[in-house]
Amino acid sequence: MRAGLTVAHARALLTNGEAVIMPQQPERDQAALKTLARWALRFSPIVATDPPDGLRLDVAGCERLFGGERRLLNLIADAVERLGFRTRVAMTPTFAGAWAVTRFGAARRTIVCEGDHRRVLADLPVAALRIEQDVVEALGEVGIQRIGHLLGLPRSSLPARFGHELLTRLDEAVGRAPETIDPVRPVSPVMVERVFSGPVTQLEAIELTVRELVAELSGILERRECGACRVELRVDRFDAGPLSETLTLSRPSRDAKHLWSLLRPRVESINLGWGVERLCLAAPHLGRLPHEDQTWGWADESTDHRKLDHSFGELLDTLGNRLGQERVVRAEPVASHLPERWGQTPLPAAGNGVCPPFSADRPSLLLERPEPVEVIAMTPEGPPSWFRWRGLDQRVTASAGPERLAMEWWRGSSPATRDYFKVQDEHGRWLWIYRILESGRWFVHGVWA
Amino acid sequence: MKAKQLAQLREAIAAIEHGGRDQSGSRASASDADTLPLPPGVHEWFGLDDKSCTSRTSRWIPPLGILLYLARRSLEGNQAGVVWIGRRCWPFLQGLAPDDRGVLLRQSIFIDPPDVMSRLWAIDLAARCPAVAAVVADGSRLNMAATRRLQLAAEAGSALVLCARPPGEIDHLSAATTRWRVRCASSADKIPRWNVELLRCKGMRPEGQWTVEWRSAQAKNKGSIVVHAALADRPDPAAPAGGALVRRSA
Repeated sequence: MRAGLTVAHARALLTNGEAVIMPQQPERDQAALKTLARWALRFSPIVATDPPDGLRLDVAGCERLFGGERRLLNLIADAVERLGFRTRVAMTPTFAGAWAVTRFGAARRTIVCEGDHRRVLADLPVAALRIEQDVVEALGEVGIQRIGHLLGLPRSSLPARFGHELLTRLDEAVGRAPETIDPVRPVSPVMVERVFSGPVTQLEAIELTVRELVAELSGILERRECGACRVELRVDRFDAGPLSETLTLSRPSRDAKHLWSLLRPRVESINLGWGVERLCLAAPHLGRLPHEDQTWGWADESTDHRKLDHSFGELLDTLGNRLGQERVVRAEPVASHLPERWGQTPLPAAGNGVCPPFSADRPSLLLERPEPVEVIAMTPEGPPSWFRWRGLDQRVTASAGPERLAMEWWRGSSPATRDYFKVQDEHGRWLWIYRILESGRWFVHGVWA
Repeated sequence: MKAKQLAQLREAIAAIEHGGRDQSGSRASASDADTLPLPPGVHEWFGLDDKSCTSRTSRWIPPLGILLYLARRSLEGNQAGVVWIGRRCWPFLQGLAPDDRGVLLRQSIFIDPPDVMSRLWAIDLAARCPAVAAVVADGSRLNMAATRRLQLAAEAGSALVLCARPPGEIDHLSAATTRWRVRCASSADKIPRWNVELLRCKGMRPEGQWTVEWRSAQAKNKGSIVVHAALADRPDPAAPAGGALVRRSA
């Protein structure tokens, strides 16, 4: 099995097991590589991506922090492998040399020191210099297979026959010419803070300061064309522990008024203790919020729709932040035939779940917990003719059913099949009653209200 | 002659007194092909009133069938949302037709406030939001001041606030625009049926009782008004698709 096979060929080669076919998504791979590069900033301050599948770290001087070059190399390799990648790592005096050694070298982890560099390079094939395939072939025709042969040739003859690029690459590999890389820049967190000269105990001063901080944060977010999905207010108190208040927003927002209206009840309720020394407002989670055109006069449907969406988002934020996020939910259908498995997930939920199977007659209200009911039925398997529910006796005037719903045995729950009946009592109310097949007990599950 | 002058005088006085609102002839009648035209404001629905209901108010059942229908109607042609406040009033959407179920699922938010004051605050806030088309709420234990506050909020935000209240609170004072009572009605065929009665209506003399059904196929009876609402179970293969909430004047 090697890279470049067709799908049919690969499938044929696999004698046992199914081939897992996934489409290639180069943009996602690049994004993942960038994230990995940012993660690798813990080893070195200068990290660049080397598409399609490499990372370059400039570790000059970093080995002192990690206890030596060998230790640093092993740390990096182990950490990347723990993330689930297979890796080849090389530490050499030049970037080009490292590229060559990782791709074409023998061992998976190599350290090449200054003195050995030329010797190691000399053993590698010319393709390790990152040159075009036709140049490699041209060199091959003349019998030059290894970089060592190239190093032996006079420098002035190379550009004429094989192009200038070969000479540049050779110089980069050896270290005669510098090579620049484009390092990733860590995203600076959005944070504003105020430090007081002494502990402040007046709530009005704190409120005023937080209001200013919110305005400043909103300005920064506007410059970055982002909105905050989460806002954290950190209050450092004198002679007491720090306090932290977190706001979660359903949609990214940079509206200072809205953020202040959400923060205000929190600020009013914090315990100031012996005084507040420092206030820090941060937006750890950002979402993209592009600028919008301001329209006056004729408003068209798209702006109305956006405004509605905006105000709905603000409603959800206010409700969620005051009542608690777990009390504000959106319904998401769950692919299950059981009535009680209608999942409800807390916001923000995309809500694009699978639509459940089309079911027959269902009540409009489902009781939170099925309530036990005493039933007399004419036949053991038949519909009830009399029941007592919530302390009242009722005679059944009409019924429909049974509808058998088996429990989901694949979830490992105890198998309890239910026979559902739709029954009408004397007053015309319709109830959804079920009987557990195994135990014979009856429960009321829903009402047609 | 004198009678005619008296009648004219009476009309003139009535016009001055009531600021031009039509007092004589306006009745909420069943001949409206549309649904009951509910204006923005608080509408209280007392249910489910039947003789089997115990006096304990903690175990009452709200008339969700009708409220589901009204909430679905309010969403038509609109990108707005429906807010369901109070765990007791969360509906079970599985019995609806797939399109309506999809619409309601996508555009509904369910809130579970812990106590009466936060419930009142949540209803107030939702009613004022312009993006909310309807609020279906658990309106139990709300006093006159609370209902007045909600009425003002609903008028300010032009939202439809449907408060379900236990039948035991029917004697409480309230500032709602309309008050309805829902009772179970027995049916010969296997269709759940309710009697809906308009108890009070601001500016209009309430009249009329309606019988409302939760149907699975389109009604074919003469003399009934079929309103394509979209509360439907699986339709018969023979009948055309779409369900009906049939309204028949009693």
